[in-house]
Amino acid sequence: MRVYKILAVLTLTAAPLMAQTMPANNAEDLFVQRVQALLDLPRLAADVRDAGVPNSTVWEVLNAMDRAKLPETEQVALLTAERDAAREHGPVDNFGAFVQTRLAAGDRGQVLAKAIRAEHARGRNGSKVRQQINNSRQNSRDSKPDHN
Amino acid sequence: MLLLGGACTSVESSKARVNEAAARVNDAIDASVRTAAQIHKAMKAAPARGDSILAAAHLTAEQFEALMHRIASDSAMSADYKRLTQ
Repeated sequence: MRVYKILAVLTLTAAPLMAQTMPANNAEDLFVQRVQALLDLPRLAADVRDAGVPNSTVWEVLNAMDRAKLPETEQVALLTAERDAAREHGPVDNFGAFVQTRLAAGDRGQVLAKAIRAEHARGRNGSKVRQQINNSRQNSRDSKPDHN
Repeated sequence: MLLLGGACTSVESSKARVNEAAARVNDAIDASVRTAAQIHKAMKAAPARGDSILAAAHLTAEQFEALMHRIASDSAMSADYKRLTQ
């Protein structure tokens, strides 16, 4: 019985104290997260360029994220998704415009990252289709009888 | 013996040339990129000391944010930053 009383007192006194300290910790955590994301931003931008994405596109994407007031942690997530997708499938045309459209449509976080991966996969498939068309054209030219 | 001595001198002078070139490359890096790289190292080592690290670099949070965005937007600066923070 005595144990229950002690537990009850502890719960009643600790809960308001925790409620007072939680917002401060959260604010501090958010600041640390934001700073860490800012520290990663230039490295990721360099990684994206190294993956073959043109500088003008990277610039366009950074501006689009800035205009959309995307939090730094989400900017990092977007650039990470773009870096990984570009490394896997190569860069896609008009990527800056694509990001602007998706941001304007309200896509954020995982939804946006998924859309970026899908866009790159489509880009790769598009290249494959183009390659197949070119191959079949080449084959048909090669198989045409020589009338001369 | 003379030949060996000559070869050693040649190696030394090559080393000196390489060091000189490295110093020139370092000098060419924008001072703000070097500051950002130093902040990066300090903050990765002690994430909770962000405020004091920025204060030591004479930067407000807004100035730091603007600096990181400026470096990210510039291909040469971001490449230098990446190299310095590896």
